[in-house]
Amino acid sequence: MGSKQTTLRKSLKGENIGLKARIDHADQQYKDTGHIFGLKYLEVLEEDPIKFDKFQTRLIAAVSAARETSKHVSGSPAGVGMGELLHLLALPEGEVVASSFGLTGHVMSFPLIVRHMAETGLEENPGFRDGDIWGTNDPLAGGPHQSDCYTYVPIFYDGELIAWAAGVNHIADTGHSICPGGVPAHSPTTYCDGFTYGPMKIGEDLIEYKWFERMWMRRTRTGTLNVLDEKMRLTGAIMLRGRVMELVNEFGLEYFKRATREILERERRAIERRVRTQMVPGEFRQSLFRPIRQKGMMGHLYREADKDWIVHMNETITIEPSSFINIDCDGSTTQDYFWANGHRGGILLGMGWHTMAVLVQSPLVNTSLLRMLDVKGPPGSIINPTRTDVSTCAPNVVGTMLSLLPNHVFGWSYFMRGFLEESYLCEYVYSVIGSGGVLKNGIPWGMTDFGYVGSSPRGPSPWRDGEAAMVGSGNPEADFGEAEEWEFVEPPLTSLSRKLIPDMCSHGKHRGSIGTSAAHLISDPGQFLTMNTMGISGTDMLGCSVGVCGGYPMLNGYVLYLHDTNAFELLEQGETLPTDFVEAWRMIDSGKLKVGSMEVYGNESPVTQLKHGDLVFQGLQASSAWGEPLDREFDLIKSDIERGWMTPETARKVYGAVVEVAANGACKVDADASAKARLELRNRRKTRAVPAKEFWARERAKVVAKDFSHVDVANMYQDTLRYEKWHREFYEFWQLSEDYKI
Amino acid sequence: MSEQTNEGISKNKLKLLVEGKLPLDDIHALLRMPVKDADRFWKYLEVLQERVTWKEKILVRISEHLYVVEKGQERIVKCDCGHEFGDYRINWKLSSLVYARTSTEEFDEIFTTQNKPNPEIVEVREFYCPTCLAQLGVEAVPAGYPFLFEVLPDIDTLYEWEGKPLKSANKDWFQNKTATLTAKWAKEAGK
Repeated sequence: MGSKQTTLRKSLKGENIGLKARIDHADQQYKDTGHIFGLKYLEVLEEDPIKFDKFQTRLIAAVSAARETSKHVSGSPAGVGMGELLHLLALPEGEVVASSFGLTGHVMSFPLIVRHMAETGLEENPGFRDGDIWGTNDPLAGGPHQSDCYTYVPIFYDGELIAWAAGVNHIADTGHSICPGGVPAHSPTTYCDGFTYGPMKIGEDLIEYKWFERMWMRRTRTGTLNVLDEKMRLTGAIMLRGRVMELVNEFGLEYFKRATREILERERRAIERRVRTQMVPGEFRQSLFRPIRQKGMMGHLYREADKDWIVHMNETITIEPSSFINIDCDGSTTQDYFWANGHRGGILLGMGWHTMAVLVQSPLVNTSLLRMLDVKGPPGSIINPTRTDVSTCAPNVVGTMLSLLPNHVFGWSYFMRGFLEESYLCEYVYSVIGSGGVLKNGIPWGMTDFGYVGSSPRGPSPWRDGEAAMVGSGNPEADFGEAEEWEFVEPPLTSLSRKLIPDMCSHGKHRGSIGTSAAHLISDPGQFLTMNTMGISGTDMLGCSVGVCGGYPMLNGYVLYLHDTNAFELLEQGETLPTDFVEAWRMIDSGKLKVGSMEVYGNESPVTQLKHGDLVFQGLQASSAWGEPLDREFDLIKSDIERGWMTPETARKVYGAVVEVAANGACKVDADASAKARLELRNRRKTRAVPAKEFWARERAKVVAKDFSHVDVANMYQDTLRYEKWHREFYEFWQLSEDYKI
Repeated sequence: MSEQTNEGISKNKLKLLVEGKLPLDDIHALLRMPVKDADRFWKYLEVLQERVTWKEKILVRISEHLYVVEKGQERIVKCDCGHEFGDYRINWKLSSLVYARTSTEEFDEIFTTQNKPNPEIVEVREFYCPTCLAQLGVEAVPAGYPFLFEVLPDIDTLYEWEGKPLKSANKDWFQNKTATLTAKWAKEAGK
């Protein structure tokens, strides 16, 4: 026993004995000094900045080469086509010092995984050895959700653990018991969450155990793709390990150790400086809501989950005098038998997606942000789940939704300070399609379609409109991926269109991005086919609670399933099928498109059975707007109409813009008529609105009478008012006595 | 271009940026600046002050139309049209005009495709300036939700960060006092 412990601990020799002690020491250093690793002075940087820069660039090259090379090992369109993967280099304590392009939010989660390993004694049993391969996808251990799988290897140099090399990607299917794919809209307990593993040793001597391959084949719908993805992650991690060894040999071990730590502290200082010199401190309030409907769906099988909710995500964002950003989620909904439980790895990952782009702005993506920002929620709330039986399938979605809100604030704060060029609404609004079934030849399959993941909008600035399919905050490919590549792995889903949907946008002085459409025709589905959708576009309640400076908030998404249609007959007649849900409705209303039945949902839809000839339309990603709509310049409205992004009817109705469209499509604004129309809209406000005091008195009476328009709304208040800060805000605003109960 | 140096941009170009008229190339140059201009905030205040007709000193801009200004010993929210909303520590929405859309027909006026919110669970509140009727804020929330106090700027810290602390600095300025007004209303109504 004694000799075994000696062997294990030898691998961790260094200034501290074990991993846990090293993490605790680093935390204490930060607490004592305010500097990462207690680095008050950046000696290596200051001594030779050119050498430091060269070293840093070599790190970027190493992680990038690992990713760019290894992705060709994968067979998944997500990995190869859209680059849904990331390779990163972390210090022994888990702090990520460099990461490739790709799913950059993962740099926020990986430190949690290392901490979990330290806290659960894995350094003692089975211990970390040179050549080991480790893996996990468990949100209880720091992972964001089961779809995101980590493969990582310790890097030893002369017997000392000096770093971790990790690969992570979003796999095609997790083996979820209800929803094929990996981002389920309905997940009653964690025991439905699919294949969940680790952190665990999955190989040694840089060779994966055979049984692990078998687990992928046995427990997921896309075993072959998942095995290839596993090999992809490992390939990059081994490549990165080799490059690091080269770097240590070239620069020296002490330089490697010191410089990697100085990079983190330097980047932390850069964030601190940006906040201090470009933002306005203060307290900001934001929130969003998401209905989840499971009532009637779970009854006989999962009675505890047979409920409907309006999930409240509540945030008070404080930019403190120290430049630290504190995100307090008191008042958010309580953990329950739904997908919306936000375990910490997912919360931080989601926070990373947006915030890296808005606040960090560094090519060397790293975890310094973790020292400048924190997200807190009361124990037992969805921000801080404490139960082990609730689903862990989508903490990443909770985190991404939550992070919309501080990033609204950051964009706004730049504007308040005068740095308008930096100001925009970063809304990483994604959705995924899960599908699966059994083909004609009896082969079962499943898939997550990432088309919408790589095509996020860029929200508006105080000086320009939002733009659709523009960025991939969490994903390197700012497009939908290749339609043909997706069709190859989801054969019954024939892609009909990818386009912008006219009029689908949030309006303002600078409108949000135009919503995007994905349309599919179901063709030869085999024995059976199901589809479900999930993401962070809003459902039935808009995507977030407030727009900015008078603009409307993010428009909610839409999913339309049309069953038993005459789509193939229309094709045979040479007719064109609809390319978005607006066109579909128009063709239904005209009688040309015949539909046996239909299902309409917001952004998320339950598992839906589909047949040959069914049509599916999604419309998403209409981001929030900026500013008062009646301040919008007529030229911008005219341009939208000319591009086919807006109809003259909407221009007239929302903006008071009277635009004449000639037969050749040329547009002309009638300035006099428009001025009159705007005046009418403005005057209409006066006739409709009431003084806030009157509104308050009227609404207060309803609150006192517990008249909340819908039982789900009342239930939301009943649940969330248990949390102290939100309770105080609600009671003080409506001036309620403490004996008031809902 | 001068914008790519640490000298920052000219006041004239900043004015164009505020008006949304600065060419994209110039904005890209601003984004590429290695270090931002240190006096941006002061130039910004000058530009903003010149855009309004009233004389109160702007302390910080909080919205497209709204500013926190110094008026005597007070710090109040003021619209660019001149309307005064009162103490900036009290949510300005409580001094606005409010219109809540609560039906599909009312949603149709602003959401013109089929993907509208569900009026059973959400209302869209629009907050207007009582004088110029500009739409200053929008909330999409369930019935009974308190008005969101979107921003309470920590003005004294801001001016400390800028190296020019305000003479009137006092820790009492950074406090949410919204409840004082709702308490007053409740008292007036005898509740």
